[in-house]
Amino acid sequence: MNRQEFKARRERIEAHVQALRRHLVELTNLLHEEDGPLLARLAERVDSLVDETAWELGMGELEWDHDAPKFDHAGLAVADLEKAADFFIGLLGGTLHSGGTNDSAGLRSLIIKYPAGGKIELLQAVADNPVARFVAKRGEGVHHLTFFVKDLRASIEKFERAGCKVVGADFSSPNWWEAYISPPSAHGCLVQIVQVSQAYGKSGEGVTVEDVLADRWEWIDQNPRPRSLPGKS
Amino acid sequence: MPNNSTGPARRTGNAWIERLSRRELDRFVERAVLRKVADAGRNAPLYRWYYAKHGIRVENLKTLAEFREVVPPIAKPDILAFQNEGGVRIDDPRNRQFHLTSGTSGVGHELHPRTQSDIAALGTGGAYEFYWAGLVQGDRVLLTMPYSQTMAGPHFHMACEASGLVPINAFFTARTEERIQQLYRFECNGLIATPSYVHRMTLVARAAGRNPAADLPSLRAIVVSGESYGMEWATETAAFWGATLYEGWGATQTLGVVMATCEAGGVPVNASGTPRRGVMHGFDHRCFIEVLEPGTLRPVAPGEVGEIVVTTLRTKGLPSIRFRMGDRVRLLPHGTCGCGRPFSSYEAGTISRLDDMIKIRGMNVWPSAIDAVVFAGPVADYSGRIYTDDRGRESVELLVEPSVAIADAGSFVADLAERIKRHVGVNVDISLIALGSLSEVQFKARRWRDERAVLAGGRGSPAQ
Repeated sequence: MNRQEFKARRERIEAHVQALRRHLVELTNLLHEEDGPLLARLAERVDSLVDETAWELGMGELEWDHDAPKFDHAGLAVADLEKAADFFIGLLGGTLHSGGTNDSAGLRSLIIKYPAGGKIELLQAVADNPVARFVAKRGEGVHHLTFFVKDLRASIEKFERAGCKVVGADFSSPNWWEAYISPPSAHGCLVQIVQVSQAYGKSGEGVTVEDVLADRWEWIDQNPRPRSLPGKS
Repeated sequence: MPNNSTGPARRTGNAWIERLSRRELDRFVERAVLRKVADAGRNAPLYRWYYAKHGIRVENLKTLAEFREVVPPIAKPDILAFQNEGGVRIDDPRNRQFHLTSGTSGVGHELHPRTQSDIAALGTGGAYEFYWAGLVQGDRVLLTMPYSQTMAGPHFHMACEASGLVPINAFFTARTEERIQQLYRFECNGLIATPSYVHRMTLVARAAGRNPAADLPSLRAIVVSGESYGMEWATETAAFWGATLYEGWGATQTLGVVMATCEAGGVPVNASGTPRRGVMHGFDHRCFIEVLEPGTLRPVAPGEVGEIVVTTLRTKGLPSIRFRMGDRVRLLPHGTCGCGRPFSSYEAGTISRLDDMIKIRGMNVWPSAIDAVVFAGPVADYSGRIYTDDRGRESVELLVEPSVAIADAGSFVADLAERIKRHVGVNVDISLIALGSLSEVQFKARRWRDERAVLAGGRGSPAQ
């Protein structure tokens, strides 16, 4: 094989490895916690072997950082949850993934997924809170962007070292640790960084938009739970 | 690619790396090292702490020369100090395994957390070692290393996985004879062990009347690591088993094997039939290896002996950045082996601990040098003791277990003492003891006790 043929073959092989990497990113993004941990683990193992293959081909470190944050959803503050659901489910073709009322935060939410990928969270304030103040001050709109990270503590350290203001770090929930990067540090956007447990993210089986609007589901530890009926505790 | 005229045909594990030119490999290594140190300086808590302590920044280094000049070597006590102050996050969600160093230094166990990337990389070095030793997919190898919280067990398992070899686990039995039975039962093609344990297996096999060179034809390779060995011992051992002796070097800090002999083996034989020390090749694309003079930390010249200092390029959980291994090695000129690979070269068979050195009557003596003389003869094992005699003189005593019946004990002892004096330069008092008196070594041997401090200061031995 002459040098030109070798170079062409090398380029083809490297392109295949890069394509494998892209497919793994897509696969990882498509997998959700509700699929169970096994598939995510297999994807992680395959990915690390692709990385090792690239190294032994002399390609060096592939640019995809395994610990890079994964975008999960955009949170939209709305004034009327029912009307917003009509638009984002009825018109745009989303399906209800989960939802409920978080009594301690004073928020009612609908989490909506789209068949071809992507997720949004509609948030309506049911008490005085930052979302209520956001709507009062700015009107409806994108309230926050949520990124999942593998290690929240390490991420907080990283952003703080870079001079970002990180607020609201909360490690109290078993399924959901979170912190926020303040809008002045994130080009005007509130960025939520979250580390979730394996138990997070199960779809709310049986949850309907009507039930959420009627306050028949509560939102506890990032999972929906039916409220006990009166007299049946 | 043709090999040197007298050696075996070249066995290629990965042509993409092994056929790089030295210049291409150097460029790859420089890029990888600079990226690794920058990443560690930004993200690895150990190195953020260590570099802050030294008041240096490592993010914008431009060349390998700058890396060597700016980045301070780190050593075991630094890692232990950091870890003792709570510097390791046991609950880091990226952790997939923990490996502890064996603790033979006596100062503590380092904790090495491993990520999924580390696990994927764990066996690759071992795969090179096995391929170069002529072991191929489907071959069976007997693993005798302990499987515990140290890295040796997982490493050799993953090396088998990476190379397609079938591991036969000898961990389940402590008896050497049973392990030899497994070697025969599975018609193993390779044996993986420390030199001490290969020696033990040789003695047990011989005592049982076995003749593996004839009755175990499947065995082609004995792959040793962890200890130095003498050339005569290696030649006789290889002849007894009818196999070639190969060697690898690595450690917990390097994520497994990062140097190995190629197809030429640990003790190749010249065209004239004379054995010579083999060459270990550094896997430079996986681990940047420096050999430094321990006092000055300046690079030694080819041909000289110095301390191994490593920068690992494939570790994520806890990278080693200019980590001082405490092992001494002889750096060889590039191309010494003649096999044509672009890798750096080191003398096989002689790597030993720097801190094993014993000062006896003002002379620097390495136990490995005495091992080489003692095990060149019919000796099963020995133990050494340095003590202060009744007249206040430093004395050396060897208790030697012959492996065969000795007809003339006096001559045997006198001859051995004379050879030690000639090769190592010290006078020793030798006593013969019955076979089996010393406890059996199945991993790395520690044969020496320094009892001088007991008489001098009434304290425990500092050498243990």
